[in-house]
Amino acid sequence: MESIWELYSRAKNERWDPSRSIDWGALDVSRIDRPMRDAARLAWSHRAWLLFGRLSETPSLLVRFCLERQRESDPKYFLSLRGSEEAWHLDASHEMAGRLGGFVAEPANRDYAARFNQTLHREVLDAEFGLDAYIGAYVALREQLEAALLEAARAATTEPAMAQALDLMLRDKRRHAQFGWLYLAQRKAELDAQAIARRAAEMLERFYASGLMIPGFAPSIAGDVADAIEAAAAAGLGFAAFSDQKLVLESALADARSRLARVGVQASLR
Amino acid sequence: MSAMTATAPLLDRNERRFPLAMDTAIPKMRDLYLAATRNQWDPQRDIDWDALRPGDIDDERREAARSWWSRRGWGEYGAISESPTLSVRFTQDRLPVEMALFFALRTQEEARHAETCYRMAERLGGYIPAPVHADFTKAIGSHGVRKMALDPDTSVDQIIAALVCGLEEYAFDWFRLMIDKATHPVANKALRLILRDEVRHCAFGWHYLEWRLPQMSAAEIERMRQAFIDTTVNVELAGYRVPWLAPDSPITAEENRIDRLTCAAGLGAQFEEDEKPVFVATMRRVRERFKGLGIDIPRFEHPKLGAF
Repeated sequence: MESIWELYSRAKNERWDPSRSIDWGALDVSRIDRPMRDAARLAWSHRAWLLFGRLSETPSLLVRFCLERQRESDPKYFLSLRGSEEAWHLDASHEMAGRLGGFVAEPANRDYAARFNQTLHREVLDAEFGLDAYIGAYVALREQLEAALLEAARAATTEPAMAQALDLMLRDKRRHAQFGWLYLAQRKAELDAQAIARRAAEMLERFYASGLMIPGFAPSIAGDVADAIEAAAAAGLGFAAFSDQKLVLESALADARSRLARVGVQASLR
Repeated sequence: MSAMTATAPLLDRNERRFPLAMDTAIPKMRDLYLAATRNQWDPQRDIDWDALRPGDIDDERREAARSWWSRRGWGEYGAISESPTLSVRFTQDRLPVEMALFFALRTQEEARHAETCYRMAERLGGYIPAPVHADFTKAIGSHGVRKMALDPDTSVDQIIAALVCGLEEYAFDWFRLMIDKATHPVANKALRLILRDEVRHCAFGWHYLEWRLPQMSAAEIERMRQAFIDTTVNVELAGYRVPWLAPDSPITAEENRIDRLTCAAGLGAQFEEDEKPVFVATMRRVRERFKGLGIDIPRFEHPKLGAF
């Protein structure tokens, strides 16, 4: 099993550059039908909306590690790279939306837009919330689910530049999930199992039941985004269909349930 | 554990993510982010560590260099948390997205620098995890950026002028001087790689000020100017970066001895006599740069430098 330091070393070796590692010249949007292009434009914008939160969440998590006494140094090194990688994911998603016709700056539905204001950067820095529970719910579990969704998106993608972008993002995302599980394993003796289970349930409510990650779960307020993702998926433009997303989510949850059980956390994860 | 929320009212603000302004407002800043992404390096692979053979170095000098690189490591390690705190501030203040993008890379760079210092110290006999003297711990912790970054009463302008246009600029010329003196190829390479990142860190500050100044009131500019002066006087000239600028004491005498021995071994560091004219020239350059922006920086005084 890799250590967190080895994971950090691997991340340095797998560094990439959105402006050069993706063959943007191969993305010929004129060959994509206008409705499909518009759908993909909104879907890639949605991806960027989600990623924007990471610009403050990961720095906050790193600061939290620095503030708590006796926290290990390896996670700090790892998180310093995770922040860069998330910046590239955001940059690549924004660039993709731009090339598809222009980044969409906000959701059309106000209620849906409000759900993005999760202020996770504040929670991470709030001593009332335990760091280990945050790692369990918002790093190990959440990254595991996001990796599974990205994998499904990649499998459905036929457009070469988008496939490239997803390959690079997925490689990082798998590492981010691995970090979470490694850290939990390392802290197994100190974990507050109930707190992790509680935070995990809350995370699923906030990011999945809300339709943030999978807009198809909130058709009344995110129907337009869900439809766009469905159309983009059918055209192989960077997304998985709702039915596939549900399937991989179930499977990833089952996997996460057993991983959590291994560190003594019994969570229903529904 | 510290509860950040107790001292950081800035974090009490609710998030308001939309509309998301993703267009570049400061193209030069975007270029810095692109350059940082393009010029990543890896301390483990890009430095030939086997070429640093501790057995070839006189024990006294090796031990001094070990202490010096450990001390550098403490400073760089501290920066790993300062940089992300500023990232949080940039998003809270809804500043151009390229600032947070660049700082995401800058955080990684600070981690690389800390790793490099750690590896250097390890090769030289073992990284020393903390200063022996409590007073020295206080000195290296006097930077204060993390606290300032989350204090809504301290503007980003003030922080950038003080930290980036001040402290980072002073460090930049110091690194250049150390590179000239570092004859050992491994130390030289390590310092060069770090300096390559520092170029961008300094540029960030000036690009920001050039963009921001036209939007600032006279009072805001004056507060920013004062922040630069205060930090120069109370942090830099108090010996935050180099011990020879700190008031004389047995502790600083020991640190100065370490610096001289390390420098004599060609393994890094710098000492008073050689750095004095360089520091004065740096201050002159920084003052000119501020003057070009319409901001007057006064002359400073220091027991070892006189008025400059």
